[in-house]
Amino acid sequence: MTGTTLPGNHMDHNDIERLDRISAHIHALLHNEQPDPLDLTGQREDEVRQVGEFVNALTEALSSLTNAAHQLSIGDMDVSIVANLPACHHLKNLQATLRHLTWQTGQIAKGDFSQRVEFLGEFSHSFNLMVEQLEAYRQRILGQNRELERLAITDPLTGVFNRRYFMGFITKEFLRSQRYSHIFSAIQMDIDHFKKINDAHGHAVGDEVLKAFTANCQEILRECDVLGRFGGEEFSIILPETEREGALVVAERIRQTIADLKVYVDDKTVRFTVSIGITSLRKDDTGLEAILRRADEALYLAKNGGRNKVVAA
Amino acid sequence: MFKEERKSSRFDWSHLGDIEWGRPNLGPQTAVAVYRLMQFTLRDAIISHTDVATANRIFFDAGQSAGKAFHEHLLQKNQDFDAFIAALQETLRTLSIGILRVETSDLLKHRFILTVAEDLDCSGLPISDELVCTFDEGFISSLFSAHFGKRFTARETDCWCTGDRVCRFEVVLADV
Ligand SMILES: [Zn+2]
Repeated sequence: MTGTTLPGNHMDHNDIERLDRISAHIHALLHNEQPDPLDLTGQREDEVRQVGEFVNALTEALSSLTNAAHQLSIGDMDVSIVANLPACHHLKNLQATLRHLTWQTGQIAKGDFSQRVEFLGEFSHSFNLMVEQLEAYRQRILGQNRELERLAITDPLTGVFNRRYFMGFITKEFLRSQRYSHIFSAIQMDIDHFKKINDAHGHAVGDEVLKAFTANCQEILRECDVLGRFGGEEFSIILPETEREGALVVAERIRQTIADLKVYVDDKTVRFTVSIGITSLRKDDTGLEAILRRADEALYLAKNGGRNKVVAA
Repeated sequence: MFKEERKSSRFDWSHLGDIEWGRPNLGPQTAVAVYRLMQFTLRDAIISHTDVATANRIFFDAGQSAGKAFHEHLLQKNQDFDAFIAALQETLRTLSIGILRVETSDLLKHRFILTVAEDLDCSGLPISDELVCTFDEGFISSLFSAHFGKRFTARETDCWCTGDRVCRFEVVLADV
């Protein structure tokens, strides 16, 4: 528009009439109306005609900008912003940021909590805070889930696996051993005269005895061995990849450790023993029941044979 | 090494030399204007000696060699896509090359739309209605090729020079 000199005193009636039309046009633009293109035909070097052309170009750019801003404001992020006004550049910047934000939101929905928003001032701050909190909540829920899972499979008093988990484990171990011809051994244990301990010293002491018993068993067992509480004072162990002889050694160590153990509760000292039955997988075992029954029978023999004994079947 | 005749790329990362050792006082940084001075005088000379299409091919191929070496030396292999993008964003930013952002990532159709804001090559150039980031096209295509182990091609669809404020690249599998 530079270089254009507005007409001076030499304007005629026709020029004034055309300038009036320009004023009306710009007025309409400023008042958010959509004026028709200006018709200011004239000579090639006619300044008034040139002003008309500039105004028309500006009108078109403004209308394109208005349309783009409107489309963007209603969420059409792919609108093409063609006009070459400075405002359009800012709008394009915003458009790129919003398109990236849309992608980032999708990423977060997928679980990628590393996304952070930039260049959107206070919104960035709030959004990023939201993502951080979402991640913190997620971690907390994951932690709670892990805790719930743990509670669902353990005995609350001793912390060893409960009967349900133990049965699931031994079933899997049996199937695995059948498929891959692996060996395992099972141990059944029962604390001797546990009812008498309870009657003589109270349940609190009984609980301490159970805790001391499992803690001492865990010390002896390997990481891969599984200890479960079957009922009141009844416990079982699965020793994967362990033959009868190995199981006997483990059982004897448990028996001896418990026989030597002194449990101190308040001012009382409690001593107790454990009877143990063991068995190992045999080639002709067709089901889990046979193994468990053998271990039970061995335990029964240990009890009947005077307790504080290990019997292998 | 540098001036031997060749028919295909022989570029190696070692050609960049030991900058720390070589520039104990000036260090590893330079001005963006210096980079652009090199890029645009080189483009100017190539076009003068050959033509625009040849210049574009040369810049694209050089970009590809650069992308391949960049991936090999500055990015980890065998990452998942999200980690690859995160590492690339971080590296491009640390090296002041540009601010990389993703607008579309379709891992099934292998189609991606990326933008680079404050691009080293073009941000702030005069508007010319030309897509000038041919080097970046080659660079990005070989980064994606290296990551996925498949041949990708990148095409610039918007550039600072066409009036956008970011350079926008569409990255797709190359026709075999
Ligand atoms: Zn560009």
